Amino acid sequence: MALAASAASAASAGRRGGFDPATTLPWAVPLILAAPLVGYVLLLGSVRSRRGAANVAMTTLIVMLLTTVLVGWARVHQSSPYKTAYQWINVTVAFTGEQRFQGFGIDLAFRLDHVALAALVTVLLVLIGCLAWHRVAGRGEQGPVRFHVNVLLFALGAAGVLASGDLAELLAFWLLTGLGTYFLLGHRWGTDGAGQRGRLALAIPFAGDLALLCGVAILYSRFGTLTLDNLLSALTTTPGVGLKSLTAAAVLIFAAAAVRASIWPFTAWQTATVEAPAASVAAVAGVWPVLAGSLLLKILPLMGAAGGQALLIAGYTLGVAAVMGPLLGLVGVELRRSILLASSGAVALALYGVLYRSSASIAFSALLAVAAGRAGMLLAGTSAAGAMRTVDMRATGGGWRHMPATTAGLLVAAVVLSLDGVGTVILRASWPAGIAFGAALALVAFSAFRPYFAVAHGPLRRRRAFEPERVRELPAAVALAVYVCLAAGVVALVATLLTGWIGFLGSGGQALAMGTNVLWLMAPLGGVLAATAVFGARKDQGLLVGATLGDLAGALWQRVSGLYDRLVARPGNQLARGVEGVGLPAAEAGVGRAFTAAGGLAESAERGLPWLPTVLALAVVLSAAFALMGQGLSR
Amino acid sequence: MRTTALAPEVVILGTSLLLLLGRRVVPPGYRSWFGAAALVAAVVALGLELWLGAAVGTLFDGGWQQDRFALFAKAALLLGLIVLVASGLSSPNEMEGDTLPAVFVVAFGGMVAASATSLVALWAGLEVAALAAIAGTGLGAREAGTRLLLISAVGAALLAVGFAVLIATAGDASLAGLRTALRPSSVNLPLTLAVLLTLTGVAIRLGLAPFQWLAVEGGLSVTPLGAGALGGLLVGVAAIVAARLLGGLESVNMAWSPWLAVLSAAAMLLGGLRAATAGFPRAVAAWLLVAQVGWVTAGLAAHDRRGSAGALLVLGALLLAATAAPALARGEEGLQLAALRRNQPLRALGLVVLLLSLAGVPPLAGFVGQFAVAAELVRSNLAWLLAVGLLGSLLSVVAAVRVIRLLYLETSPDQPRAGRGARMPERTWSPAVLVPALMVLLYTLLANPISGLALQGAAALKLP
Amino acid sequence: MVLHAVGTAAPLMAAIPTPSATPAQVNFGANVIGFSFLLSLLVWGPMVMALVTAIVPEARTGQRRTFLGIAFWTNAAALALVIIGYSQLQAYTSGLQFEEKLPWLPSLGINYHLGVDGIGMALLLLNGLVGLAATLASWDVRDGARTYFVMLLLVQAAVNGVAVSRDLFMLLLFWAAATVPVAVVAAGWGSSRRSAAAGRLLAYWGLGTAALTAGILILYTAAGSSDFDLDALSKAAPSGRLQLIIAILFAVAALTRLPLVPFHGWAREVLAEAPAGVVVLIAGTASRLGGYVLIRLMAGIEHDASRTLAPFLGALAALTVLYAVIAALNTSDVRRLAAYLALIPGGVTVLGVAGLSPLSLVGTVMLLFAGGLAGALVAGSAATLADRAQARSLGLAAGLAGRTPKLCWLLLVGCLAVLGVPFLATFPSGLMVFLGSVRTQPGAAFAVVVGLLLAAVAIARLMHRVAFGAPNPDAPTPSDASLADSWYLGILVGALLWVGLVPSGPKLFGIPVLDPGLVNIVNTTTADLASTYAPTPLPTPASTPSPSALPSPSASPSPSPTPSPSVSPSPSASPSPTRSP
Repeated sequence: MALAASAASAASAGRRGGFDPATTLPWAVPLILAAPLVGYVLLLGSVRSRRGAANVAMTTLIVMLLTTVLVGWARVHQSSPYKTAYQWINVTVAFTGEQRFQGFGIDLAFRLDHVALAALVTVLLVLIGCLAWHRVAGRGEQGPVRFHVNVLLFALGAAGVLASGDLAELLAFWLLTGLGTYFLLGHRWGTDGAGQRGRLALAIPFAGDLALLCGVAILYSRFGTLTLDNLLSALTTTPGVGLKSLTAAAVLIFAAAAVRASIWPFTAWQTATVEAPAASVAAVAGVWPVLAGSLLLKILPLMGAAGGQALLIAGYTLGVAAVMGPLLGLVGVELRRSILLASSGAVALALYGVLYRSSASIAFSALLAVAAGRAGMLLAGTSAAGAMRTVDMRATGGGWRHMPATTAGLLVAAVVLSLDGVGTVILRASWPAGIAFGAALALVAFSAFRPYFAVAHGPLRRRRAFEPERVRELPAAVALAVYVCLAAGVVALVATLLTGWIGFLGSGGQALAMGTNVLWLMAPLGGVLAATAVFGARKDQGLLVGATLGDLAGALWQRVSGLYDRLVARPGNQLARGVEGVGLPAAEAGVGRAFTAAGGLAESAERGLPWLPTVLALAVVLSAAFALMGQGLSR
Repeated sequence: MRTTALAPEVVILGTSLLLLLGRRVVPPGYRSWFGAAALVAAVVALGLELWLGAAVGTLFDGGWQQDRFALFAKAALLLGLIVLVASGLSSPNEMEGDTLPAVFVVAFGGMVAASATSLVALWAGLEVAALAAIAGTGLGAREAGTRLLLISAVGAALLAVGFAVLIATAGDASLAGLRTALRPSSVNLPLTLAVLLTLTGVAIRLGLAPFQWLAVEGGLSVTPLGAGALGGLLVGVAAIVAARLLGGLESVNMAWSPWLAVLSAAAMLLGGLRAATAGFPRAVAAWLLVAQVGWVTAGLAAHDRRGSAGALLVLGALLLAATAAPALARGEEGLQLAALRRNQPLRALGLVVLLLSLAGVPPLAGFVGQFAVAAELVRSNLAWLLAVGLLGSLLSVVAAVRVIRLLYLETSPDQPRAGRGARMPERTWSPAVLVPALMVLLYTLLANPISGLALQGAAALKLP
Repeated sequence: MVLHAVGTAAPLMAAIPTPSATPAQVNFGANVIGFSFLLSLLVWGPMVMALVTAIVPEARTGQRRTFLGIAFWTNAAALALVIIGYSQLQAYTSGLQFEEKLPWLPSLGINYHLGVDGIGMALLLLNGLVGLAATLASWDVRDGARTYFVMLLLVQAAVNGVAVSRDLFMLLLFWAAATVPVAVVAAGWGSSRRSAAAGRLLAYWGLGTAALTAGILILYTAAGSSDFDLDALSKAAPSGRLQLIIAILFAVAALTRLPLVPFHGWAREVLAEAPAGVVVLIAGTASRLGGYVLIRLMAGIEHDASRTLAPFLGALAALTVLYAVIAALNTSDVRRLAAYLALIPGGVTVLGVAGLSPLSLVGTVMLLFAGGLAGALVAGSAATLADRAQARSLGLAAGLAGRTPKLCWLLLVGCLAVLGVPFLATFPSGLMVFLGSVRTQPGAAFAVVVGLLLAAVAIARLMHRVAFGAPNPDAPTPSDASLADSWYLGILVGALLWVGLVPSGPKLFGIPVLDPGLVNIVNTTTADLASTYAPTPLPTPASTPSPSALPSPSASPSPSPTPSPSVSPSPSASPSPTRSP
């Protein structure tokens, strides 16, 4: 929205002043990816101080943002995407056979449409917010240079995913972002907890990434092309490609998006890594849903071509995730975990909308809102938890009194998350799915307001070595960082109401039509009221239920993992150790021993047998045997 | 053909006699030159052989013939003699003994057998060589000499009986007569028995498993020079006899080729196995010889031109390596080997090259011949024999690597790794010990003319 | 009756190499190098220097780097020669270049025939880089340095020999010749279990050599050829059964060397027990020869049998990746874990061959290079790390990232290279392999992907014990990479990054500079070899879309600064005029 406004005004200025921003495209577009690369190299090569690293990283992100705005300005009136490509690989792999499989090429292809530009701006704002927050609140964090290097790697990957017009290129940047995620979430060293976190952050989502690889591979194996435009145009014109292949590819790519968007049941890699630096958690939680949504938008025609099955699978998955995420967010009292799970429901609802052309634009805008909103809420929540020295929501409180700015941020974020799914639901709701959507909206609101009430209301009790009266608002820079994210979220949310913005995004669909649909607002409102009743009025009891459920879930999880360990892991490991550690080496040694024994046997035979009679006997026996055999054979 | 073609034989026999006389007339102080003189004589003989031996023809009414086979066989024997003498130069005492003249007689016997046209000449050549080898070595080690004499006598007896039956069957003692008289149809039990017993007699001298006693136990129980004669030259002579004889018996190959193939397999496998488990380099060399003899006979078992050519190629490599290996390995074992590497680096290097060649490791002499034989085994549908041979070669390589490890990777007792300033015994550099290794390398380099000559030699055997 | 000595003199004369009766078309790359014995230099140079190392007198003053110096400069010179050859090689022609052909044993049908094409050049370049890295990795070898570096140089020569041999006898000769020196260095240096490791190596490699010998001889006999020339034998068409036997023998030779489960016993031991230099050399190049034989001999000659064997090879590849990862998850030894990880590129390589599609085969050739570097990097850095940390158990060598940052990051890069992370050379090659084999071997391809997923877990486990975990207070004090370590690992990482970032070579305004691009170097030869396996067109080709590999203008309508067509041929131009008949 802001982009559109500034772009429009600047464009008119351009016409007057004679400066045509379109002339900058040849260098501006590559600069979006070149900037983080240069910053990355700079940080790795020369910078050693925390401040220097922070400055380089922030400058890089700002350069990326400004470049993106410039490109947006240049493209504001063109609805078609800006495309340019640089060959990375282009080879002839065969001289015969099907023409489409005679060559192989991967281009560093940029495909920047309005959606990609909006997503880029949001992602960069989120990252800038996280860096700004980390600059002050994360001052004591270990490895500052390493942290900023990883943020730039993450930014590079994310920008690449959003801008790429080639599936292989997209895959590469997707994996790169995953690598950045791994580094960010496994940032803290020196504890086994960090090891565990890093393992989860690498392994679980990597499964999704490989699903993307498989999906892309299936598409290539059928269509012989990786360039999105060629692929999408070939979807319906290529002979011999069955619906099954298309469905498999669509489902696999959707799975990749779902895992990285961290919707239920793929939330573990984010909820288990909340101990990582808050800025890392917020950046990962804020950026990945945007990338996932952008991926789904890119393959929207594939979803359509794959027929109802793929959409059905995706729809059910997202519907269940939209309900289960916030529901599980009510279990336990860990602040950041609750925020992540509550917002995962909103992410699921937005992604659901992205799946359908009619609601794609509005849902994507909502997705941008929830992404920025959850990042802001995570940062605000962590600020409060840091000041109150606990992440246990039972022990927090008195937010309005001690930290009004942060608490206001939490409230805004909770509102953004609660209202986020409304647009999608209005456009997509149908009987009986509407009931699930209503429940999801209510649950998201209920679950999103829970952390707010936990921090904002109720008394902040005295604990050992903790004096509530000393709790103060963090420096303004921290709150500002939170508000940068929240502002992006609010703007994106409000923009869903604007026809101009939806048209600007240009992925089809319409703006919200108020009227009878406004009734859908009742669902989140109900959730908020319920949350007010439960956590506002009876905070301690409400949270006690959550804590008890959390303990039960923890115990249950312990039991299940114990069973898995006893029935699957341990026997499997023993088998593997048996084969590799004992079986094969024993077999190999056995062969060696057999030869040695044979040699020894021959030696003892030589020593033991009287040589002269043996020679004579052998001579006669062998000659006789072969003579008789020869006769037998010749007969 | 002029009798000058006999010059090499004359030189060899004359040198042997001169060496014998020399022990009586030459004062002890000058006897250290015997070795050098013998080496010069052997080189001269080889030169004469290559020069005069190129002329093909017969003497004594066809009782002696010079063909490409004879040329190849004699050249190989003389090369073996040269490396044997050269490798023995580092131990002058031994060169002054009775072994050196005997070694020349062994070579002479081999030359006779190489030019033989009849079973009698073959028998004579082989027996002269065997007796000379045993006499020369047995005099040095009497108890072993008696044993060697006995076992050799068994071989001689078998050979005599077999030859007698063959002559009686064919009605002719000449190889040509044998070839024309014997037809595939004439293969029956007595003939087969006679052929196989004859070949057993040859196998006893050849060191073909399971009759390897003479070459291995005999070789290990005598002096290095004697071992070179028994386990090198004599084996070569026996192989030459076998090749000539099997050429004559080609028409009845179904009587002997299965037997020979199985014994070749046994030799390749047993040789590899025992080499891989042998305790010291000299024993390793002896067993590697058995394995390589297996390759020689495998080539002969294919009973055709290319197989025999391959066998001759392997034989040349065998003669180069096996005759010199005992002299280079001597008696060292265990940690003494590390000392050997430290104190006599050239000898250690030479030994390694010879062992690797005996094991058939590329790109040394043994490999080329074994590859030629292997190719022929596949052509002759003897793939099973190739499989056994490859297994034997694998074991042989293991054996060679074991020796290299002992030589180069163990700590020398007189130079502990820790003590840098420790006292080190003076190194001895005797380039003569490198002659065999250089010959082995040269053999690969000149493999083209040598293999060409081997093919001509096999053709001279009138094989298909 | 009397023949003159001509009979013997003629062959003696022939001992001196003379041009063959049918002189081979001599091609000096781009005709810039004015000599035709570049390949001979690459093969015999290191061998001669090994001989020099063996006889050069040892420096008596405590300074023991004479032998290392000789090996280093030999390798540096060899790498320089390879780079010259690489830059002169005419990419886009699939014929032999830098060819040398002299009769060696005409009576046995054996010629001294060397030549290089894209595939061989990739292997030469890999061997040059890894050889230099291996020498630097051997900086601390003091005891028995002479023997060590002699063996190292002999292995270098043998690997180069295999890469450039066009006569199967020569190929076999160099293939077998590599075995003894590798076994000797494995037996002589490293941990206390080195003897067992060397024994296993000798046994498995010996088995492979035996299989290769048998395969070559059966092919030679079946072809009824008069010589062992690869070009002649590749035109042979033995019966189906014979083809299968030959292909199986070639496969056994390759799988023991690469190695694949269940022939990996030697790698498990050697890569975990040998010193870094040996590990780098073996994991980097010596073992890659297996993949080379698989492509060149099995897929390149026995087409029908390769199709028959493809599913089995695919299954073996999947088994290898899965098995290696499960074994890695069950070991607490840093070096052994890395050794298992180093098996993974081999598995993916074989998947590419099993894929038997043009794309998967090009990917496989790329992966010969990239996988070698990745294997060498992961196993070498683990060896150096364990050495510097004076500990190799995950319990002791823990939490080192703070104290040995360089080694930890290099190990991490190695692990990521094994996974095929973007912008490392294993990514484009692995991607090609996977994309190319999904159509023909979907089951195996997906199983390999699952294996890679588990590999990520194993790598996370490794990194979060060794690098990012809690340090063990009882562990000895570690030291970070020395200058030599940094350089040798840096060379491997640099090569991985270079090919990963610019597989088609860097371009300035669309014109290639410095490097023609590895993918361009290998693809024409491989395309020539792989065209046999190209998928057959569907009945209605009219409606097929243009392939993505078309130059960017057609791939994306907007103007794109792509290089001239002469540099990047468009598949639409195929059949290419440079295609060999």
